[in-house]
Amino acid sequence: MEKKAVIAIVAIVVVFAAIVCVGLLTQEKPKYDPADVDLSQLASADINPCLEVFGNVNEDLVIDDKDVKALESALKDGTAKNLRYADANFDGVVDKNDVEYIKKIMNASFDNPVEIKHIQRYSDGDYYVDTSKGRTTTIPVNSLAVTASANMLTMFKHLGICDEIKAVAWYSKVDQTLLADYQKFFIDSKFDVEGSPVYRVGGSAGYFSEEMLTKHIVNDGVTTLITADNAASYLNGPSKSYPYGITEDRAYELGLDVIRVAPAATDFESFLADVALIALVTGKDSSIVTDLQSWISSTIKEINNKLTDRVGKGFVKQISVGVSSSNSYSVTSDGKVETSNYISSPTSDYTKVAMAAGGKWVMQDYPWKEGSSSSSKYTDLGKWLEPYHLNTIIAIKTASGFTYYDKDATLSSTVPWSCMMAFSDTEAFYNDHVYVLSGDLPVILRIVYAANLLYPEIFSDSWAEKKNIDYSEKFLGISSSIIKNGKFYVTMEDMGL
Amino acid sequence: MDDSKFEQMKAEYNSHIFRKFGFIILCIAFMIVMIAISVNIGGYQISFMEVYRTIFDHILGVVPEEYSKEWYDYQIVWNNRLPRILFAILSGIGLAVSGATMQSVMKNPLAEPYTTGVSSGACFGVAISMALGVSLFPSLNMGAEAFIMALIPVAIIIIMSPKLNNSVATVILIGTALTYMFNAFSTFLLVTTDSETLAAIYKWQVGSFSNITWDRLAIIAIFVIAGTIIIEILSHKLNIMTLGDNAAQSLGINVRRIRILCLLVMAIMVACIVSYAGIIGFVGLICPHMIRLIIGSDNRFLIPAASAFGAAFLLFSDSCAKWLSSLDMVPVGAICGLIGAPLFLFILMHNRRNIW
Repeated sequence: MEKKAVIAIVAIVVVFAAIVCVGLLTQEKPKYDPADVDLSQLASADINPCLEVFGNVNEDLVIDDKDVKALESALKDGTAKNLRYADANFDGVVDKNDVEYIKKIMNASFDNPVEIKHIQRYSDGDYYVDTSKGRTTTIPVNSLAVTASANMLTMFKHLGICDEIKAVAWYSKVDQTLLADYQKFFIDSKFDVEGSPVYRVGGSAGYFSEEMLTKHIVNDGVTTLITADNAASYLNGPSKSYPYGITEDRAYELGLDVIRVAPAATDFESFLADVALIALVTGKDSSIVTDLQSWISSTIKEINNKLTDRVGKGFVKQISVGVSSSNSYSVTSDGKVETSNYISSPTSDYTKVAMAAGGKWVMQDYPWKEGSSSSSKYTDLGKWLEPYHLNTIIAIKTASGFTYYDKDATLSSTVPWSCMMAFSDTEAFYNDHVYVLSGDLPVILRIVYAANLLYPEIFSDSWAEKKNIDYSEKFLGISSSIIKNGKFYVTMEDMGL
Repeated sequence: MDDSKFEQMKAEYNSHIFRKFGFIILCIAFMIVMIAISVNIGGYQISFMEVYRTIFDHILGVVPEEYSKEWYDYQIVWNNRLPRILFAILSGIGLAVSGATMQSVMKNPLAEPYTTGVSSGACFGVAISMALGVSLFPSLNMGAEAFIMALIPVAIIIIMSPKLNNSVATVILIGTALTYMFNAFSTFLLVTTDSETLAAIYKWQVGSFSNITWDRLAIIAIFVIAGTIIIEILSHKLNIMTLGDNAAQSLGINVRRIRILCLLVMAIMVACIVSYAGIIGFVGLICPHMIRLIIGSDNRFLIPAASAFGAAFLLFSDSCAKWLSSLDMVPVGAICGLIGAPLFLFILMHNRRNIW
């Protein structure tokens, strides 16, 4: 008996020891030094947007009864002057007149329009300059002149704004599938379509012709102009290419209210604040902003957690990445190669997409020009990037650079993806890590797909597609069948490179 | 000579002079008609009567209510269309007069306002500004930069030609060399730039009258009108200079001084136009020849005829460009060539007289 008990105990101990040994041997060890990882540029999941309009006393996303109550309470206890947006009627004094004004804003209608004052943010190159000068807009608005870039129209699509747009300035047409409702705006001359109204008022997204704009002001009652926050390129007066371009001040002189927004911002607080502002101005349901906030926040959190867990702990090597802002490649009839390439600067929204997706920024010592969103132009097929050992290069292309690509369709040779040959002398190219990503995607989805491209072992294709379907159905009204059948990035194999 | 022959000669001479004046008056009348039509052309539809009511109301000091339809009509007619029309007229005058003068001074039928390198200098100024993002004169706008850069080749010609043999051929050769040099500088800049900047510079080069305000128009008007008057005052001396430098000098003309003065006046006129409108070809080269076919080479009539014809022609071309596209998609320089070249060939074929 005693002998059997001993044997049993020994057997248990041996088995236990074997299990422990196997467990220790199979435990995943970090492959790389975690000190070699920099995840400081990940987007923040703590997103607290605020509708930057005077009258939004409690600094949430709407102007409602809560603001009335908050201001009344603050007036009683003497803290009203500390509230940032309490001066709703912008007369320099916070008093019960502001309470009445907030009620007027809440009840604004076409019969009883109200002027609101909102913060107007400008960007000068790549950094944002907060202006303390608010601008005013009379609400509600149902007749708009807009910059018809893909980013801007996608932002409008979230709110269902389309028929309100009466005048557009654009350089190139937008994606026909993802922005199908907006194709009617891309008629550019009186000869294009018989009987169709001509919406175009500018030959480039940032340049509006006074004569054409006036036509829509008088004929269509346009009262508000919405454009991008980049003050250097949008509504900045005439240029040599577009000598008819008006300034923001001239737009005000013509009786228009100007609203500047950042539709491509990776700063989601700014983006959501802008969506909330447009919702208020156009009288659209702003509840979508709260839903967007939750969705974006949870997605960012998911991405950050997975990256921190895998990349941050060294189990997966962090990928060095460069984002291309512009590139070209062509071969002349006598065989001469003409090419140029750029990489976006660290302050560019495009670069921030890659960094939010966990990409590592390694070009700190490049002499970036202040206020510039990209490097200098190079014509050496990317050899200049050799010192940086970029593992991956992603080009984010919008409009004519990338249209909706049906998975079943044959890649058209006319699509200019061959421009990626501009990077054919880089490590990324040798390793088949050069991609083109659709710029017609909302920014959060660009981050999703960028994460998928950089870390496929963490973020699978099916994960990215599921995110895209969910977002597109919920917020853009695009059916899952379109998304499932679409390709939102192309690889070198797709490009035939 | 008997009286009848004298009367016959007198009648022929009067007819000859009448033909010249008649042509000038015809050009001016055509220009007036074009003004009347052009002011009605634009993306914003304003009726014929409303356009003229707007103009007359403004002249009479009637101020429409802000943001009313009449107010918007006024903004477009008075602040957009009229300055553009006047700019086209002044540009036509400046370029045609400069071309006629250049051909007379240089005694070369292929001479034109840009032979002195004015256009390539201006283009280089614009290329520096757009391709490099650098301002040579930070306190000035791009139009002023182009203006100053446009004058540099002419300044070089004026400094260099007295040091060489000061002949017409020397001036042309120096101008041609400078044109090539500045074009080369521009090319170096342009090959390193991106396609968007290239497109922007090209768009500037093909010319547009959109970017004009009343205050800029005033400056251009001063230069162009003053320059035209100076050239007209010198016209009889230019006629004498066609006899040759030696003959002209023997008749008391300071050929060198007149030549330099004409170059300077032309350069300032053309630099002014090019800096705001871009490079508009054809007018300076071909228009003077067209006029010579009709009224001859007497500069006393050629200069005012060139003014009237150049103004009418360029205004007509700009009106066509505006009608085709309200967003300046059709360059006025291209319209000039499309309309002018067949017209010139037609006149050439129907007039067997030598134009030069």
